[in-house]
Amino acid sequence: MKRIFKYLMMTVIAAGTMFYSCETMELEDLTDPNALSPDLADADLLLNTIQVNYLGAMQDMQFNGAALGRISHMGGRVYYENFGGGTVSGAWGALYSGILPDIDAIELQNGEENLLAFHLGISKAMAAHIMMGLVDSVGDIPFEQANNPSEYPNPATSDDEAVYAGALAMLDEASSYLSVAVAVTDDLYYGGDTGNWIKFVNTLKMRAMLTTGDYAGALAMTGVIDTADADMQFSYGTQELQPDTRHPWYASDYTTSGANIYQSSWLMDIMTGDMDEWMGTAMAYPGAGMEEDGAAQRAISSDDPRRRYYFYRQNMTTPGNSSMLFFNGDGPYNWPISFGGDSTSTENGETLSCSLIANPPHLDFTIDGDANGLKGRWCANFLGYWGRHHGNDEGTPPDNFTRTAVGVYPSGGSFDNMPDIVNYDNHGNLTASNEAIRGGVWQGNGGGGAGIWPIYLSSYVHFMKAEAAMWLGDTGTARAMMEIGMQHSFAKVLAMGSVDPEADSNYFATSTDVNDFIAMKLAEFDAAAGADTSLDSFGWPVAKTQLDVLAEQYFVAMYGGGYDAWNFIRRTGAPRHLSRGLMDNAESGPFPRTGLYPSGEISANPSILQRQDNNTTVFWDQGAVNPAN
Amino acid sequence: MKTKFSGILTLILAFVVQITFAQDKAVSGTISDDSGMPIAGVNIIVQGTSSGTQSDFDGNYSIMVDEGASLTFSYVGYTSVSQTVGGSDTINVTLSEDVAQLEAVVVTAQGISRQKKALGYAVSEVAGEEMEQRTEGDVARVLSGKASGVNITSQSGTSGSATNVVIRGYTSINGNNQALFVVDGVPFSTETNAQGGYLGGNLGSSRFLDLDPNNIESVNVLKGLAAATLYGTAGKNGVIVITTKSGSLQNKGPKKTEITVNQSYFVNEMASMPDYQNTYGGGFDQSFGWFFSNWGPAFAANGVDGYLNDPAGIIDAEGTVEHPYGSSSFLNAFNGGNNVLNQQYTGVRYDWRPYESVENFFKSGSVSNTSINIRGASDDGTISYNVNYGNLDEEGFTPGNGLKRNNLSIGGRAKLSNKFTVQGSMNYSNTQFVSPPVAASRGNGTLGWSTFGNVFFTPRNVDLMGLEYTIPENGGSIYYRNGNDIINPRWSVANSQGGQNVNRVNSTVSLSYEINDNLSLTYRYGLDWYNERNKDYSNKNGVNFNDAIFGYLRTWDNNVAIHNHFMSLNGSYDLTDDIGLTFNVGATSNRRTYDREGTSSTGQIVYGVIQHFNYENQTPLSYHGAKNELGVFGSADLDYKDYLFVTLQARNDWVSNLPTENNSMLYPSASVSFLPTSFDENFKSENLSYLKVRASLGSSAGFPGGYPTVNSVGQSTNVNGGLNGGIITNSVSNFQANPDLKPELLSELEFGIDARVWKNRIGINASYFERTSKDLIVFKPLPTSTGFTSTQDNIGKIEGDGIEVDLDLEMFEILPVNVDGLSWNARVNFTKSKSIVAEQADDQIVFAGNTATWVGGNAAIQGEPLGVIVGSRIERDDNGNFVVNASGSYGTETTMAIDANGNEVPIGTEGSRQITPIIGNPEPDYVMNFINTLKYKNFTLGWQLSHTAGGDIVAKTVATLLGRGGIVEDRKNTFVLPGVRQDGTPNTLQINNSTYYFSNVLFGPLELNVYDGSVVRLQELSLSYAFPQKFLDKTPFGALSLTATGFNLWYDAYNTPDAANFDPNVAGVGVGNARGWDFLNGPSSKRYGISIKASF
Repeated sequence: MKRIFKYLMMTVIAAGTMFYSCETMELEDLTDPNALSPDLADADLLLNTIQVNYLGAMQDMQFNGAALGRISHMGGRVYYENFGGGTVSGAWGALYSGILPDIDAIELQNGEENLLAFHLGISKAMAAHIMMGLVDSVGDIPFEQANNPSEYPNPATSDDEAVYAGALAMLDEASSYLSVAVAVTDDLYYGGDTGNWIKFVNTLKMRAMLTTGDYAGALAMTGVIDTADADMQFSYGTQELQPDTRHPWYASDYTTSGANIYQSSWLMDIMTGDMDEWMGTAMAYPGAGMEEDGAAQRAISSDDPRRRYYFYRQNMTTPGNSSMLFFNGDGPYNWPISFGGDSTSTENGETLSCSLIANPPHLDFTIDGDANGLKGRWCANFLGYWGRHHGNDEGTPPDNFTRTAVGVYPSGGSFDNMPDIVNYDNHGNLTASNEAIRGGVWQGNGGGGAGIWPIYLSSYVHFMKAEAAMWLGDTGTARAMMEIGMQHSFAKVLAMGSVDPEADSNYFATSTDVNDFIAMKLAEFDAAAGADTSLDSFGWPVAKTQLDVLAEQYFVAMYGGGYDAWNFIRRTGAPRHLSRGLMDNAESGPFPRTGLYPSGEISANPSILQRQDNNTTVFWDQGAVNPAN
Repeated sequence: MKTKFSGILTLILAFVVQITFAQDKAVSGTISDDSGMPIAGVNIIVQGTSSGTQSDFDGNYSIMVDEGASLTFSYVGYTSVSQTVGGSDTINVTLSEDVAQLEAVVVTAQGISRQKKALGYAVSEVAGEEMEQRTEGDVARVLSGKASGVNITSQSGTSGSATNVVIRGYTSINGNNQALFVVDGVPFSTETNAQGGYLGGNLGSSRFLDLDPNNIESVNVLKGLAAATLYGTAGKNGVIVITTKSGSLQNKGPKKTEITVNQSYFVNEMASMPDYQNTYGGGFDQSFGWFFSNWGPAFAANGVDGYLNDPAGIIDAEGTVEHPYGSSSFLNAFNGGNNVLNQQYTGVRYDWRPYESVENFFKSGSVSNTSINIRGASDDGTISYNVNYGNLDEEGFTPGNGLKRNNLSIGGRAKLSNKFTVQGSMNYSNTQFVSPPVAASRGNGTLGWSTFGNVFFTPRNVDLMGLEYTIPENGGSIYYRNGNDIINPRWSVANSQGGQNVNRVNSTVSLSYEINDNLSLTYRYGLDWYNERNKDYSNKNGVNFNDAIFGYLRTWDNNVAIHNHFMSLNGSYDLTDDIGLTFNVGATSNRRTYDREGTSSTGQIVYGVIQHFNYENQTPLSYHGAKNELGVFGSADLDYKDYLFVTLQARNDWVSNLPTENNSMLYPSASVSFLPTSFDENFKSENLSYLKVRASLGSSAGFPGGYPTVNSVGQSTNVNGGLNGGIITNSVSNFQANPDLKPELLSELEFGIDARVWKNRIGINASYFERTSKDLIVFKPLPTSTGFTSTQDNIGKIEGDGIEVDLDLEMFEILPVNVDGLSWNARVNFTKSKSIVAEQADDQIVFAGNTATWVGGNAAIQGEPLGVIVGSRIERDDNGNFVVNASGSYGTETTMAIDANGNEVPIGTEGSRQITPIIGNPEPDYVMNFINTLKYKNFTLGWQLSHTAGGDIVAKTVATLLGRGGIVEDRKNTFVLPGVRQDGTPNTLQINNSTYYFSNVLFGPLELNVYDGSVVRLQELSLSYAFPQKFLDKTPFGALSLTATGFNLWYDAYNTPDAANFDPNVAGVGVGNARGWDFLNGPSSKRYGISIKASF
């Protein structure tokens, strides 16, 4: 036994010696060589992440707000499913696990001298914005117990009103940081302009006042984003790879396999103006062989001059409806009716299946229903705009080169050079006209994606003030603010026309067009004073009110950044002439007053229970109802 | 056995020379075994003398003896028989197998040899012959079904695709559940370094593919923890111990050099080709269109579904449409319409008829396999060597897929005079694998770029093989869709590829020193090193995916090295006359390093040149990791009077990626084996010749991977900064480090019996085990509002149990059939196991797959089987009825609530937990294999039937074939979905076939994609013929045999639609803990062919 022990010792010693020299014996190798250790984090680079996360959160919120406001297309039929567990998950993650921990990391490095005041000021402003947006979207959210995992591994929510108060306190903090801040160049929004950041902070404060009912405060707020040079926006580049710096809408729509986004038919219909006005206008259009240029085509006042900037038509006709066709002389003729046909002559079940389908009964009585023997606007637009109606959830037909794509504003695509009225004689038949005039999207076309992502533009701010004035009964100020809002919107949009080097300036809107249009809308606003606010037996508004007119222009201006459309609808119930969904209200379920909590949070956090409906109201929500919903 | 026999033969021959001359009577006869097979080489000794003889190859013998003398007939492995010579000249003898002696020696953990009867736990052995001449070059796939408790799942039938190997079920939620491979005593890296993630692409072989099955001498499967204790944490999932021919040399090599050559040729075909319908073509709602779906009008002109009644009216009376390249919007837009294809096809008509596109896209591949083995030894047997060369050349049934492998293996062993024995083996392999892009598909192109996805739902009217797939102007992809928005699969094959080229060396050298008769010392060093050169690329001008549109090239090397030192002292003592002790003590260290370096390029400049210089942008690919595991162990085996055996073992492991306080774990094991039939002869009877009762208690530890205890800050370059271009970002990691993380502990209790009953006709080996893994290291999702999204923590407990039964049946004795020279051995193995999540603090952890409920995942939910499939389901009302929405389709819901007992309760119930709906359980009810060997003279017929009962699978292949109308023949009926409307009234809404199949079966609730994966399979079928010796005498061959083999020739997943021909043996998402997924990327393979084996 002694011998055994001896050999045992020998083994252990031999093994020990043999292994000792090797690195195979090393223990406590704990640090990941593939990442930085926390003490090496760079404040400027953390700030970059915060700014990128903020943009992501804004895009997430825009997606919801614009879809509910019919500014962009909503693809599902049931609101509860559309605004389910994924409603604000992007913004939620951007704030809680993205921006707030990175702010903490910057605060740790911000010494006595407050050298990182700029970083902290703008970061806190952005964080407060997302926080208020989350409250608007889902109500109560974690605040007091958030971002403190050792004490609160499962944070409970705080009252939504308290979170708003907390966000406002954060904005105050941001202001005080910014007041002493030395700007840095790592600023993707304002290029280090502290003054503009302070305007942004004030605008967010004003937004909170408007949301929570302090209309006088909102109207009186100064130092806000009221000029275009203070516009809060993110600017894109044209690089395709590594990284892709193009506007995300451009990247989706300007591909070698065509466009991939559906535009909202409501917005396009609003902007194409009144069909009867188009048809009723006699035009001094020259005869066969004449140019189909822009100047001759600007014929009616209800035609919004921004539509060629917002939308790019790939095709001149929409199945089931048509474009206008000029034919030898004395005024627009409507294809195919003027040629003895009806919608069946142009329908195409392969690319637009609704062109084969009868009107949904609940849309029959609205302006979206059938008109003049052609497909109604719920399916097809009369000027060749090819989008989708609210709630359309069909599969994807081969329409990538025919549906309407995003335009030059705000996504840096192509300016729409297509004539609205085609000189039929120049082509001889419809197919030839289509072939000759069509212009498919293509990778690299137009502005190459050098667009902007608008967050707060001076136009929005004026519309917000207009709304505040309406609440206060001051229609005069509201009218004035709406006028400035529209002017700023036009200026912003028109300036982007030249981003597309192939834009045909003949089609650019002139100041006359703009002024005429604004005047027309102001006249509409004036005429709506004391309008009948009742609904007809179908629940449809009898007439537009002043608020409806204002709201419509606000929504049109918000294209590209419609975060606040949802708030606006819940606050005011306007615009009351939003299109109804393709589904009737029994199917779509109630219009969401809030969405659901992100499913990732819910599945990990037993302190928060998921909602079973979308009827919970945010503290500021007075329950205004829009008749379309 | 054969070599041992030669030794004995030599001895006997020596005796024969001395035969005395006094005998006066010639006695002859035949010696056979219980089944009537003659036994050659039986020793026949005249008792009390040294004279004797041996039986010849036909079992015949003759001997001269005195009458009244007694003859003893003995043969290794058989009970000896004595017969007195009487008046008769003929004495025929039947020898029975001696079960106690059959209990041969087996190799257990760390190369320790033990008598089988002494083992207190189950070990499955698979002989080398069962590995040879197989149609599959993948060791794991060859093992499929050969042993109970071992579950092998191929990713697909693609040559070189990955394989899952799981023994005794899943025990860890996030940890590795794959079995450890040990080759010639050294851990062998078997990981699968997939290119791409779970969904986006999962090309990549499992690295046991580098082994040549033809070079395998034997495989032992150590299933339980008690069996694998000495392997430490690496062995916690069971161990597959492989001894190569080069590593198997003992002091018994034949003196003569023996050369064995194996040559095989097999045909490799796709087994799971669906039976597409040929009545209807592409479109939707019975209306023609160039759609993905096949819901268009009939190919017949008339009738309610005829193309002339199509409301779209695009198909003309002659049954033609405009050529897809004539009506293509894409071609109209490309170069402003001024392009070759547009001009060539505008106005050209295209027949409205079915094409066999999918059938013709796949082709018949081949497998050629050559193996040459040379082995020999010095005259005294102290020096022996082995050389093995193998070549495998596989051509897949998918164009662009192939596998080439070369193996060279050499081994030698020398017993030196000074008590040292040196043994070494070295295996070199080069494995090259290529495949066109593979990714998950859910019936459309949204999950990733997959060649298969787009092929399988090709509408019948699209002539995939007849249409051009390349745009002449730029080499780009062109296909039938109007907007050219799906990539042509043939373009993918021609322009894109992923592959791995692996050079690998694994070698081991061991030195043992015999200190005295009782003690020996062994040191072993093993190096397993490989360089895996990955390359994947695409040319530019494809469509739909940025990788295809802009082109990319990624090349990177994964360098993996495992250095393994091992030292042990082995002792063997007889403590008393009745008690023996053997022991081992030792230490081992294992260092594994993983280094990745490479380059990723995007933006191809000139079409067609696949070199980094021809791409605009380059970024580095780099990753580094190293982990050390140290262990010391001790093992003591006590035996008492040959009927009671006790083994006590313990091991302590230390790991480098945890802080010192938590980096070690000590775990013991104990096992006992008791042989009643040896204890008391009275137990023994004709019907119970052998019985062993065993029990063991084992344990092991699981350690985390990566670097989970220290927080980090992530840094990214080239982040989209818009107009600012690419920017650099830092961000605090969303992973919360856990410095308190400790190892997980696994324990297992196993009982079993080994028995031979009914005159040895039936051998039984049965085990029952219960295993518990606790303090499981889990990636725990954290509430985002904490600032982190996940951490690794010790939470949860899994409890599992299972039954494994192996039967060995001599069928013709059971039946009974008695035909001379005919035998039928059948082996049945049966496995049934389950794992239940016993504790888990969170509502649910979706540990594999995706939390998006329309993709689905595998979840750990307390009270439920581990890995239940969760995802969206049909909406239920409070009474559990299906709810149909206003459009007549099923509503979808993504949450349900369960109470503490795991029963569903209404959402919001006090004390309930909200989870993603459970829609399936991938664990099969049981798995059974039936392996048969029928021998008649020189013919051997073998077949293996496998039956997997139950086990759910999300089968996107089936859902897609149905949902896109590929296999749906019946179009004229409408559907009223069973269920109620929102208001509770019975549903009466009619929907048409495309709404039913497309919007519900395919893209509705994920629940409707779940199928029962039960399958019956003819896994193998073979017929071989061994040329008789007398024929070979005139040739240089020592042995020559010819074998025809088929693999996976037939199967039936009887609970899935027949026409889908779906094969559930797929791991659509690759190797890992995900189970029960088919993402349309797993056509399976069938192979058949012949092989010839010759030895010289």
